[in-house]
Amino acid sequence: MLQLIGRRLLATVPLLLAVSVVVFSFVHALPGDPAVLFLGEEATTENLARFRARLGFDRPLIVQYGDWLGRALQGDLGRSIRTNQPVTQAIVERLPMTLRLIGFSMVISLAIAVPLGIVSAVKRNSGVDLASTFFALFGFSTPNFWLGLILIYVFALLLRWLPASGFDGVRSLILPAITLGTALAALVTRQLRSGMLEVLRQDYVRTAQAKGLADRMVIGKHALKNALISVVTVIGLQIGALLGNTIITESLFALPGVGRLMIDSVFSRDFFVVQGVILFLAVGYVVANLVVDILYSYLDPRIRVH
Amino acid sequence: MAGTSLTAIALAQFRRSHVGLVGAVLVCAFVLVAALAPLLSPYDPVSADFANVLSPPTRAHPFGTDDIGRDILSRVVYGSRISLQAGLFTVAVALCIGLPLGLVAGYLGGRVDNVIMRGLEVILSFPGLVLALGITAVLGPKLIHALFAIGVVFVPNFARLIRAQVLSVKEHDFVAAARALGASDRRLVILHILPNCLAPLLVQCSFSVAFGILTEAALSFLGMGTQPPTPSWGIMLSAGRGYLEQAPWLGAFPGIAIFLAVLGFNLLGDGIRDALDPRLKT
Amino acid sequence: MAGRRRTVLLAVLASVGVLLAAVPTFAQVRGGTLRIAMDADNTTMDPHLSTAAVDRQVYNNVYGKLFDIDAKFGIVPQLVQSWEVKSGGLVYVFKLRRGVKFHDGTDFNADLVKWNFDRMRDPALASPRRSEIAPVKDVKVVDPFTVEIMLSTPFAPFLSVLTDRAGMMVSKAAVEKFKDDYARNPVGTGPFRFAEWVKDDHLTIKRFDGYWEKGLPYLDEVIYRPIPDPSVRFTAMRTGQVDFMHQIAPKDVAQAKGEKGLKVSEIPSLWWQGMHLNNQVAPFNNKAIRQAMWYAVDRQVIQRVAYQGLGSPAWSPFPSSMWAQDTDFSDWRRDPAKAKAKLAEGGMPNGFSFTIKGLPAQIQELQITQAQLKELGVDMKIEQLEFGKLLADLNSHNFVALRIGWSGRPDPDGNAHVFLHSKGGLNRVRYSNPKMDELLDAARSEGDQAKRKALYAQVTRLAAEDAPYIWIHHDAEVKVWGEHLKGFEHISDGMIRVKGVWLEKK
Repeated sequence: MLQLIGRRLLATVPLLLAVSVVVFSFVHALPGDPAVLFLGEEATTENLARFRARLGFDRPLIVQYGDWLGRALQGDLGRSIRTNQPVTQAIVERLPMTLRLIGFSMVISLAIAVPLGIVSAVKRNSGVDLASTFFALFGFSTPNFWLGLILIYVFALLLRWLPASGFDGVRSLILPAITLGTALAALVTRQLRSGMLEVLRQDYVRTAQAKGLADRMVIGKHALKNALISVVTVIGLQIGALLGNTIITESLFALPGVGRLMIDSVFSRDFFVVQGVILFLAVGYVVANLVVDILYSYLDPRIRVH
Repeated sequence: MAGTSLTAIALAQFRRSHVGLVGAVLVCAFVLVAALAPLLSPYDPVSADFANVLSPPTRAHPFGTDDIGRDILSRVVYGSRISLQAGLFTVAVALCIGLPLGLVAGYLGGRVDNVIMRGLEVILSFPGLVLALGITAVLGPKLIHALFAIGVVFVPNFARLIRAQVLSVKEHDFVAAARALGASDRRLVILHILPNCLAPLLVQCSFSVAFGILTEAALSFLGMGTQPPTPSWGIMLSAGRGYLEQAPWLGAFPGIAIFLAVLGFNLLGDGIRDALDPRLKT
Repeated sequence: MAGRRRTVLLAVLASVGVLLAAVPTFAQVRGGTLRIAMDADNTTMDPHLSTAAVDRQVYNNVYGKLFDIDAKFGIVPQLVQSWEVKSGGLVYVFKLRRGVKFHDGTDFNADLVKWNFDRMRDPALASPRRSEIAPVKDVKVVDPFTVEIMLSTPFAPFLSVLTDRAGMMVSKAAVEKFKDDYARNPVGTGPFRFAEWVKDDHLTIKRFDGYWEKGLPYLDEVIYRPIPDPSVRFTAMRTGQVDFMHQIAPKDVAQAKGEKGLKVSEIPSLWWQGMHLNNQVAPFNNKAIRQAMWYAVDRQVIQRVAYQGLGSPAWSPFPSSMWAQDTDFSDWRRDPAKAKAKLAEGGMPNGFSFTIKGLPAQIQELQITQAQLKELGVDMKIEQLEFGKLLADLNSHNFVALRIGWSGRPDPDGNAHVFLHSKGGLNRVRYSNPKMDELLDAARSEGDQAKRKALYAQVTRLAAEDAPYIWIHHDAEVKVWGEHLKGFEHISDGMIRVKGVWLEKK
């Protein structure tokens, strides 16, 4: 097991390196002079030159990359042009908010999806099953920013039950968590249902049923474990979407998280912050995938790393 | 066994065979609306009527007017064109880049395959929206940049799909036979391998169009996609956000439109997949 | 007899007692935290370096000023006890208030005043205040509480300028201690002292117990929360997450007025909203093209639709609250024919294309202008930027057209000179017309208001002719607060003075 983890970690290193090159190139090698990107097309040549010199843009790219990477590994991602605050600090300040949001939405999402998925598989083609099918379809196709607007309209403006925006305690996270978690819940429900159905159809289950073992025991021991695998699969596949949708949700509900930091800095043309956040999110995503992979191989003995 | 009533059986039947149909109907409706936009919209989508600002739905304006007096029905209708463009263009970009990559990787194998797969992995290391947002931020907030960025995000899925198909078809006897008869690589690919990829490719395309529409709307909602006065559904939702209480119709209709279009393509994809491979159904 | 008198006395006392008990107590409540929703975060806490209107809000409560203004724009002494103007307006003698201390315990006196003026005038600091007090030639300490300020030329707006940041007194000890970091560790003489600032989240100030006005302030602390999105800000106000709201979107005003528990105050402001057109860069380096824009913009529709009828259209930098406004001038209404003619005159009869930078909150107004310009063949693209970046681009001349507002100053010179004078400190469009310079300089050194008004009328007409800016709108000054908030005096300069504010126990 440890060997597995070790091998995977080693494989991740070149990947992360490649990711860092891509992020670096966002600002430095893509179309347009980075100085012009920051200062605009009408900037004077002296201002452009001064800017380049100040940020070391006039050195060869390799040198700049090495310098940037070296500092990034030590946790220095540069400073915000707008506030002069170190980028790392800005990210760290906002990380708890984002983690709370993601965590809470996963909890809500699983709390809905797991029972729904299991029940709809067990009671196939019943009313519950129909409801869960619709939920799965609609939940996945609804643009989450629209869902968020509807939730705000109904629960915050019309009924005044919950706050529409900002962070003032756990209550402020309910609507955002539902908004963020619905798509995930829809997918998990569907996956869980189909996973359970497949397991329930298996011969050994039928044999057990024929032998007279209690339904619940059958489900409990075999079906659930396999179903769990499919849930983990879905979550693993959806982490990326979750991280992306966090940006939209935080923006819509004015939550001071990392996603909001990214969109705010894009509007301020604060490229060092944008760069830092993208790098952070990419690294986080790779690590999260790694964790899911390891979890997956632990849960499913049939899977073996090639 | 639960659910053996008539309704249950009917529901099971419906789900089995009509999912794709519903999707197809929605998609056709969507494409028709986009194609016939000039005929279907009562007004010019960008012409403002300052005397009729924020009007609720009336006979003259069935969907109401927005914050500078533009007819929302016309904007929703024309918005379908933007969304259709979004869906098609993003998939086109993904195919143009992903298809050759997948073919080459699958067909040649070995070192080339390895390099390409590693490269794709790098793209996949970024959460989709984050990458799209980053690319758009650097290139500038314009629709075309947003669509290109989303297309890039799709590339790995398409490339991997093609590669998997190529790998599975490559070893079949008829391919070996054809090669023995002296068929060139290119002929093999075009005549024998590609047609087999078509089916799963179609499924992926359908899902990706749905996702492309959704992501373009998201980027426009955030202000990084279409710019005013272009009537895109995403940008209309963003405007609607500020008038949620006074004028909920601003956001309601474009939201429904996005939902229906995305649902349509998702169902269509589901339907095609079910039709092609009954084993995958539940 | 004595018993009867005593009974009467007791009866009288009793009735007075009953009356007093029946009268509701209007006594100010000490303590409490006031939460204010702002439209943007502070850019700096150093008033000598600030260029953003939003900064002034916190400053007014943390920094003492030499003078303040009242609701009628009258000059009211604050850190100054009394003053005298001598030598035909060339010498100002300020007698300073005694017993005033800075938050760090140091004394406020004449040396401090001189030091502050010297700091603002120091070219090394490059303070925006420098051009505001340009006519100041020398500052002399006469005695520990008397200062003499010598001007190089009579300057009618001088005292008015000192009611804003140029008159704010900064602690010398603090600046010397923190140096470049002073902007994050500010020390003033105001009723509140700076406590904490988490960028983009909140800025907190706490009661200064050594404040010179005994008994004030009532509040324990004030928290400023920047909420740039107007809908989010308004929702925070309505749901009670904040007690006071700065800058409400015009479309929300009617709703605020109808809402129970909220108080809305609407008065004329000193603001003007307009487009800055870069006079040095195509296409607006061409006067005829600027004039085309002047006639193309429909101020009346914008007022009606974007501002919901609040405020008034602007054809000059002088709003209706100012005596300097030229109400006879009428050549500002939208005229597509004239606009087209000007386009032809400028060599672009089929229109042209340009990009305007603006805030996301102004997108509705910008789209109105975009639609109207389209009719003339002009393609205006909108680039939405966050406020800090917008200001940075403005200050570095990084724009072709930029849409931004000016919060305004009590004296008309403060709304015009900095923008229209070739050496004006905020003339980012690089407009230069010697005739305009002449008019503005004459108006600021002229003491007689009637004569000044005539000069500003000429300024209005010349500015409309040269069109370096397109003035669009004068905002209404609207503030919204919860009913439990008392003691707030709403003045047209839009400042949230919380010195005398208290919160009723709910």
